[in-house]
Amino acid sequence: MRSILAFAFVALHALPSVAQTAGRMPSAIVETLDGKKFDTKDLSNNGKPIIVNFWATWCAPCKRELSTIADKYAQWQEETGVKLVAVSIDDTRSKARVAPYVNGQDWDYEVLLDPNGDLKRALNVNNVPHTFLLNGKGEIVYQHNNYEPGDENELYDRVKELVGKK
Amino acid sequence: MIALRSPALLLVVVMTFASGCDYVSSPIVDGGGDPITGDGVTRKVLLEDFTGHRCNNCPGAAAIAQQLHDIYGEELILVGVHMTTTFAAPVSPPNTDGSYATDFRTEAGNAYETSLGVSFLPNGSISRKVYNNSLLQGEAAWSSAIADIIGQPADLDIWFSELTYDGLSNTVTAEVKVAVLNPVVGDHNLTIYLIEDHVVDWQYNNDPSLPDPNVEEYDHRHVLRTTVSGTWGVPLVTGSAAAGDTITLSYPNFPVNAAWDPANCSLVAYGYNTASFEVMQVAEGAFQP
Amino acid sequence: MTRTPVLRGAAGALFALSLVPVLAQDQGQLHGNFSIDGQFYNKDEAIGAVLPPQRLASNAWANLIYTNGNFEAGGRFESYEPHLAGYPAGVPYNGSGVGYRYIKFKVSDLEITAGSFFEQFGQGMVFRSYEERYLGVDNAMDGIRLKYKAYPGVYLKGFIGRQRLGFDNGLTKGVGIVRGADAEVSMSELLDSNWTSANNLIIGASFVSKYQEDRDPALDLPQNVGAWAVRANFTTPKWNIYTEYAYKINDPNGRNDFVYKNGQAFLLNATYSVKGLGVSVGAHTYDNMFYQSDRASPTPFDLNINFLPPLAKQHTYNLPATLYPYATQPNGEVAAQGEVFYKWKKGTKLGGKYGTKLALNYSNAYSLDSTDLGAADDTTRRYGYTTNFFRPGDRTYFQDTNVEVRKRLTPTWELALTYLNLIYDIDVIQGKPGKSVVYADIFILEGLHNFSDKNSVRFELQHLSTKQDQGNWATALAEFTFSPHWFVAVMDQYNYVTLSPTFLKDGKTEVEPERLHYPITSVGYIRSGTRFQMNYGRQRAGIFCVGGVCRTVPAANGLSLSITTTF
Repeated sequence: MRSILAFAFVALHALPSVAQTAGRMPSAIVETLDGKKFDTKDLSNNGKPIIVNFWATWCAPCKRELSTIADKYAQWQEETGVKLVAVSIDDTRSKARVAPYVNGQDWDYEVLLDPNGDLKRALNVNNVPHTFLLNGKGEIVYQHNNYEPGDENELYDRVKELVGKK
Repeated sequence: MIALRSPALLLVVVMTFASGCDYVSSPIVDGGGDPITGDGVTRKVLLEDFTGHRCNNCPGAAAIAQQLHDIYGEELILVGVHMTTTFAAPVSPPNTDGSYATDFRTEAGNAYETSLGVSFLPNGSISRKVYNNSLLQGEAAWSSAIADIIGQPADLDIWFSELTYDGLSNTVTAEVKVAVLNPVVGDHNLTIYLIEDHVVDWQYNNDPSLPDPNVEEYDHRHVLRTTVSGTWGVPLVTGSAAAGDTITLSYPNFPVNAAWDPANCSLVAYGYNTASFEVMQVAEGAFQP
Repeated sequence: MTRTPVLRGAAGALFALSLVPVLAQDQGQLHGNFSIDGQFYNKDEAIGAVLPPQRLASNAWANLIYTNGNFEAGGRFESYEPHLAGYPAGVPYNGSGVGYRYIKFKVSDLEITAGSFFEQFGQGMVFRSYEERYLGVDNAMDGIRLKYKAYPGVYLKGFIGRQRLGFDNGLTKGVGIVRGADAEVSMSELLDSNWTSANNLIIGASFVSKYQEDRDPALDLPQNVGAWAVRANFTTPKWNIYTEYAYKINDPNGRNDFVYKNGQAFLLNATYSVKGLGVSVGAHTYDNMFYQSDRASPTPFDLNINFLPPLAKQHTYNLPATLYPYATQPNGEVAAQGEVFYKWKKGTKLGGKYGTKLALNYSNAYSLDSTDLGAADDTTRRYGYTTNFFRPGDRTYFQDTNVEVRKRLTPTWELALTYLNLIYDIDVIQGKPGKSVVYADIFILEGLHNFSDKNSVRFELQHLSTKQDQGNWATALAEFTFSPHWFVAVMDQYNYVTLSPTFLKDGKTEVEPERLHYPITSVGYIRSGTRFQMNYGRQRAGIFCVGGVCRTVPAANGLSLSITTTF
């Protein structure tokens, strides 16, 4: 217990000096809905912001978040050109359910599948929902864990900042 | 093209295929299962079967323990340690017919449950020795884990120089002698269990050889009832002991619970290394041989 | 090795960080996460609460990953002083130390990992090495893994190593050696210029084998046991059809009573989805597919080489998810599932002003039709039984029919109504022999109301009625959220047993069993990637499942605190 706290203490305090560079999307192989492999370091949106949201079909707050944003997505895209990539961490038990569910909800997001948690581990995600915001250069500028109704407003404020700054 | 560019990968693939499959056409080994014999004092093995009356896979494990006892005889000493609230405590809320109302847990059993981290039953430990990187052994590993220890030359010899049961006062008097055969290094303790064999009570059951899922009169074997020496035993060797040393420990008039049948009771004494918890030698003595 | 824990931890961190200036060009990055779950236990005999002698338990993990161009290194520090009660499901975790460490680098299209890694072949039926941290499942491989993209569309993988067994002041490994290889071809990528349709066909094959010494005096056990699988996935813009078949040679182990029969598994999934509608059907059969790298592994949760997904919906509501969840029966099961998701658009009659969503699901699981070969002689008995591969046996393990309707009524109100009907063979699934099959009906009402842009309340009312097992349950939950940082939740579960068996106290007076409440409150604070949560109250004994692997959670009473952060 003490050693782990010491480890975390030293690491967290030394970190700012080491990782001043913003995180980039790591390279991990995920699948698209039609089974093709995709390397996440190739994620791009033509210089516009990207929201990477980790969810699962068994995670109720995740589904609430994506449903709430779905109502506003068209407007968000029009105003800022942002793209939302929903990465599902459903493993092989519920992986088959992802595409029918996404279509049954009438969502317009780009959906990627991470069935063995490779991208989840590479981004150090503890639990879902977890959202990352990438700027036009592919750097992670904001992240948020958990979802409460109204959180999407804070997220969108950050998106607008990115676009306004540019 | 592919082979040239990644010889390492190809090597792994080939190795995998080449080493893949052992089809076995005759499973039984001819003449297999004979115990190892040798001269001199050898290590006996203590098989602690962690069990409970509400554990439906436990009768299967107990049957395996008995089969191993049939093979190894006196070299293998069995103790059934009933533990965990889920499997050894009385059923809650109580059943109308009074079944599964006995509390089989013991102070020692609870302490071992915590220190060994037991949560899944059936389980066991072979002379508290790490085998295949685990202190806890499922019943499938007991045969191999025992074969690893049994018959090896022993550093200690333990026996009961006196073990008498007094029916009038319902007490047992025991004297345990430990002879050091080879030099021993490290602190060792001696623990003495009081066990009662043939305890008849309810048992959940999954074993098809028994007729019922709820057996009313199941023969619980070698049930740990209490410890005469305390849960973790008494010091036996401090620091080191030289070959030829003999240690004697006396337990006069230890009270036996009136509910236990002395005709089926015995004492099990074992000496273990306090750093590793490995049991180095074990002996059993019945109250009424 | 035995320096003080504080020094050890700080030394570990400084070592990791000292690597950075040595290796860093300006792209070197260090990121990680930290998670701790601590619990303080109170005495509560009424519910049979677990009370560890230490009274305070905690599970903690810290991950660090360093990346620089094509090089990556990482590790995980874990601490269980002691582990939380009921965790993990398999062999105990104990102490503090490093449980996972690796280095990984890419050389053009070849990726090499040395150390700990996770991997999956196909759906995992012959090989899946994964972690579910909060469940206590971690069968990480420790060895070498190679991944190679031989050609656009052709993916090869190979590995060799041993699996993680448990944790005792550091990683402990199983005795069996596991090695495997996998090849996958994606036709549309392979034939890129010649493939003009939007369809794709992906085929794959894998082979895995394990080695363990035979030290059994009575049986001739196979030391090398192999399993192979082939799979095909055909996709069009609307359809997705997936099938996989796996075969395992004789693998006598502690879970199948040491029979020498082979093992087989087959699964088939088909989905159809267009905007507004999604349909999915699936079926599978498993026969003798427990595959562990130690044939005598201490529990069914340790050293699993493969993963057999169940075909049952993973429920999110508390009562169905923690009382009667389905867990795969790897030794023999036949199962099927069908599911429909549909959305009535806004403006249509049933859609109303905001749209209405419907989810229908039906799944079942049966025993596998098998015939015992009998015990004519020792050898025959060893071969166990024969099966009719696709035929369900006469025992129904599980059946779940459920429907959910979700609708927004006003700009501030949303409601969801769910009904489940369950048939649950608690004898087989939870190992409670003699208990009759549970027939249960569950009704759930969930409502979400926004007070303002930032504040909202969500409530759930759940009711389970059954004439078996524990009887009826009712749950009420209210969660208040104050975006973006705070939430407060209150929940109560009440077991108002209706068919209560009276029992005789002291052999004389008839007493009814106590009807118990399980109240619990939670408070949480979230700030970007960090989350603090505190719970206080009674936790009901239940089952916590992720992906078909379940562990029992014991009843407990007390205070728990969890902190997670990603950086």
